[in-house]
Amino acid sequence: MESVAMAKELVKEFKGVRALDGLSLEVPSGITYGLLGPNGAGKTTLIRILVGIASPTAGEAIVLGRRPGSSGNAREIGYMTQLPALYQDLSVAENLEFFAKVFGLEKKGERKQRIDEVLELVEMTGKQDSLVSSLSGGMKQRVSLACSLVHAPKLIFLDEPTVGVDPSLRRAFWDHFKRLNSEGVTIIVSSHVMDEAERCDRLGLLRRGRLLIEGSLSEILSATSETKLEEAFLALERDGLDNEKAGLA
Amino acid sequence: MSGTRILAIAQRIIRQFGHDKRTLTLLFFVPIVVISLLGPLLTTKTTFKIGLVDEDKPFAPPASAAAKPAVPPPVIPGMSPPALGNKAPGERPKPKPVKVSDRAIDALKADGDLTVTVVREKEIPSLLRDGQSVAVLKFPANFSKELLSGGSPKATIVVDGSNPSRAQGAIAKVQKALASQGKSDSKLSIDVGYRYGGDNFDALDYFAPAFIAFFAFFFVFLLTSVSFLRERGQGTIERLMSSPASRLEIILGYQLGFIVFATIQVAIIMLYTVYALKVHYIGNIGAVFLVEFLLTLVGVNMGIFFSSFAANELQVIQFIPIVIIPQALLSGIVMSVEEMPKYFRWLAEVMPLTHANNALKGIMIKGYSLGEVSFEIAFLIGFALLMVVLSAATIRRRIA
Repeated sequence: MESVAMAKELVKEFKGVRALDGLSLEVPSGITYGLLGPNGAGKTTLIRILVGIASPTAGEAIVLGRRPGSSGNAREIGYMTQLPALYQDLSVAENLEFFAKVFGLEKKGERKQRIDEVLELVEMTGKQDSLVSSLSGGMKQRVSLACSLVHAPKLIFLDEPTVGVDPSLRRAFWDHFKRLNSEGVTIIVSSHVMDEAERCDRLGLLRRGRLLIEGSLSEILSATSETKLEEAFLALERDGLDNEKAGLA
Repeated sequence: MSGTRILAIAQRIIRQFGHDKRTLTLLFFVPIVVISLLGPLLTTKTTFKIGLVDEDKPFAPPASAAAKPAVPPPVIPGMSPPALGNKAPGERPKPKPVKVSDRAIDALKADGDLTVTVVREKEIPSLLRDGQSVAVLKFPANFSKELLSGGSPKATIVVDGSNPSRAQGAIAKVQKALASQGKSDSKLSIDVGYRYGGDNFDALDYFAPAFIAFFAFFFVFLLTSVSFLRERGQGTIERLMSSPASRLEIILGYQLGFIVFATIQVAIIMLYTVYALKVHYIGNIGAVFLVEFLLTLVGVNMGIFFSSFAANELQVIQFIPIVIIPQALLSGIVMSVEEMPKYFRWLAEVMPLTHANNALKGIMIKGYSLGEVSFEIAFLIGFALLMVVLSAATIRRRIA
């Protein structure tokens, strides 16, 4: 299967702290790839490097056949940050209109159609004239997702997209992600919710900037002899700590 | 480079402020309020209450001395000697008693900026203490006698020195009033010609161009800093940086959005100062807007650059005493740059507001063409380009 994103020995240091510590992974096309790990594992840093808004201290990354941040990539990438990343003093429609234009939807008719589609997807039709500042946290999250999808990208990075979203809408999001996959769109999603991770086609479990294990859910469970992903993660973490202690000894 | 993206960013900024009526009010009407408050302060004439103790006695000079004074009698600076009679030779003049202080008092009373009250000497301390007079002028008992006998008597002035500038103002006013009385007797007359400005120009005419530059710079800098800080804080800059928009496109979009507001602001200030405050402008309006455009370019990019060093809006406000106040003090708004100490002049010369002020004063008061302010224009362009480079370099700060 063709790979859409590849990281090789990525290192990222912030003021002496290693957020990524020689991380390598490869994401095949047309799937949902889950990056799993506790806070501080390096999920967001990895996504930002792949999106092209941060540079690695060492190592290299290739996304859609190019170096991250190259102008050719930007039009084809969607990025939903952890924060809603919306202009609070603009309406929902004004935010969507702005990001659609900036991401290259130049034709007015095309823009309008896409805005209507994504509003429907996130169940915000009828709220398009509301100021973002007047919306609840969950609604802002939905608008933020709509802004990431409005230009119909081929590769979508979602950094904890379902935080603050109620269970029924969360299910709707995941159904839509699956539909996008069937259209050939690749999704790289970070999460620390293990239930959600089970919906991903492949998973990368991260800890302290390193990839503990990578594979499909069944592959990870069989490799760890566990029945639940959460248990598998804890077992891997224990092994990691044991190895570190052994290394130190 | 995409015009659509630059326009989209500019349009977004305009829409954001369109939703924020309070900031628009600040942008457009606060300058009017401030100028309205400063205008009367700058143009109102200062008046002084002067107490006057007159112990002088009339004195009839001896006939010989009156016919041919031994010494020309200079009295008070600027005051001409008293007329001592004009009799034909051979005729024995009968001198009339003269009280020199009366002429001085008339001169002081004739000055519209002085309110003169005749008082007694023992009242002097209470007058100055209670603020009823800022200065008390005293003519001693033998003033006329000494003067007309060829001596140099001295009138004394006691001032309330607790407010030095007002005390100096009062002394200068008294001297000027007495001097003008002296001139009225003199045959010397001077025709005053104005190369720039005119006798109908007042302090507001001089300050108005500086206000235009200051307000545009102040608001553009502050609003850009806060806007950009919000971009960072709410994460939208991350989304923008992940988009096809380049750093230069983002900066140009910001620039374009703020130019719209700065232009409206200048137009409002110009209309108000010309039609309501009757400020005299003679220069080319297009040149004024060009300077304004360049200053906005400087303000936007300085705002983006400085916002990268602020973690929150409180820290943006801390840039006011660092970036704004030194320029307000040293750029020629408060005091002419030429009159400053040398080390302040050096500082003033590297400040964009100094050059914008010089250019606007040249264009608006002296009617200079753009060619005549080319150095100032070149400085502003250079400074703006430097700021574009710095803001582009720091736009990713706190992101990457």
